Amino acid sequence: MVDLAILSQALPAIGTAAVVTVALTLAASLISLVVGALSAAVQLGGGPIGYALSRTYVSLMRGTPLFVQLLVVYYGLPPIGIRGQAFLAAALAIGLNSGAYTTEILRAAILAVPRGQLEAATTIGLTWGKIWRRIVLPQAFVTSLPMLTAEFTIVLKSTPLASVIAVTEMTYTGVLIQSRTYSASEVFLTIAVGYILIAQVLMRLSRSLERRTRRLRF
Amino acid sequence: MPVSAIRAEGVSMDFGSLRVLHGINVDVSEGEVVAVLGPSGSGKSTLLRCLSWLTPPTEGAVYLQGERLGVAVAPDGRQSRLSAAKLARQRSRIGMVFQSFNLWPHLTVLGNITEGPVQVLGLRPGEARERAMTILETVGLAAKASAYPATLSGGQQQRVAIARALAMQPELLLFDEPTSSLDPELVGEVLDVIELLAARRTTMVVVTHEIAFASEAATRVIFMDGGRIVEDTLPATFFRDPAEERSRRFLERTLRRYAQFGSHRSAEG
Ligand SMILES: Nc1ncnc2c1ncn2[C@@H]1O[C@H](COP(=O)(O)OP(=O)(O)O)[C@@H](O)[C@H]1O
Ligand SMILES: [Mg+2]
Repeated sequence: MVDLAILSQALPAIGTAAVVTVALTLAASLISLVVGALSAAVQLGGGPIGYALSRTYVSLMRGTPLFVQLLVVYYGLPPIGIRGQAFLAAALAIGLNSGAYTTEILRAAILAVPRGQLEAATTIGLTWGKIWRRIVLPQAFVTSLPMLTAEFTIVLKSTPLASVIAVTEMTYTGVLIQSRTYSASEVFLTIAVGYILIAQVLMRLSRSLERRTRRLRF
Repeated sequence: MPVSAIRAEGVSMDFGSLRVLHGINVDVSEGEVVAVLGPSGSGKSTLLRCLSWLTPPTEGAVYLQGERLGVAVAPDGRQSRLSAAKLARQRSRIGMVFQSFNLWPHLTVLGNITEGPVQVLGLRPGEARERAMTILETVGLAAKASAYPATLSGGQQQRVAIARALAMQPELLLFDEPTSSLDPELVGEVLDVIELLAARRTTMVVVTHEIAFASEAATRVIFMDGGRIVEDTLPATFFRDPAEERSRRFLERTLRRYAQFGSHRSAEG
């Protein structure tokens, strides 16, 4: 059944595409983390306007399909002068979408930081920004590491949607190969294994991070 | 004339419709050690939090070395809220130690102590570490510099919290029941540190239930009840001959409990 000749021909292309998938996952996760941290900070410490902004962002992202968001971003970039940047559009769309979930994850972890610690920081004379950056977020990051890993695994599994705007990540590459060779099972099974491997690396990384931050747990 | 370290003028505090502080006037001079006593719910913590502008009072003013906290007064007398940066700087001049230590668990002991000096006072990390180590010697915890708070006993954590406050070289220290959440056998080591500071004539306001500490180390006793200062006098006067019926009853109750469980000091020595 499985045609090894076709597979060995296809592997280099799938390998290159895997790099794109990893890059897209990392870029989108980074955007998700930065946007999520900002959004959570603004929601909890930015007064009524910050709260409203952050809640609106979260419900917009959660209330519309990622597929649609991807198209909106992709076709929204050229009018602001950014053309032919499918990868950037995909990273932005997936990252912004995930940022809504990261907001919620970090929000919960931030609220779990005891109030007394913030009061101590206030009496020391730390200002709002420094309290966030140096006291709240480091702890929130540590406590939410398992949840963030799960979220970034979802990011990885969202990357195939980027094929709709012709980003040559793994799934799109698989579709291209399959349309030339008509050997669907070889190609897509290989790709599935590829996703599992990447997810494994992600989880290993997270677990070693967790181990290294365990002494900071309380 | 003694220099006023901190002064509250007509400080009132409301939580919703509940008034928990009623126009408090108090003036603490440099070098004074004021013990604040009073039943639970009498407003002791709230007063300390107002004095440090951690929770600004509903009414009234607080002056740190004569400087108005939290309020900018223009030359023409007009008042406006002080900028966040300036307020933070004012707060950094008042050290506060909490019942629950409130150390930052993701930082080492040294990290907890150097955070303020580096981030607020702008000390170089090396300078801040040196300062922190000197203070850690004072509180007897130099060996724990690289430990994380979670690995320390309550008494050690509270001494680190005191060290953290001291590292800012504050003009005065406020303590809110610093030994109340400690196991009895750990109370002594924290009181020893506070008494050492008292001997060095550090200006302090200490909310406490430790009668022995109040009568021996304090230079002044304030007794609060129902959001008011009921008595403000010398420790000797307060403990021997309280002027008010309320203080008398409070003392009787506290001393009875004391006789039952004993002084932590006598338990120790
Ligand atoms: N954040 C708050 N919200 C509402 N009520 C409060 C708050 N903090 C304190 N109180 C009330 O104010 C009163 C004084 O409290 P507190 O200052 O903590 O007393 P003490 O420290 O003497 O035990 C109590 O009745 C308490 O319930
Ligand atoms: Mg209290």
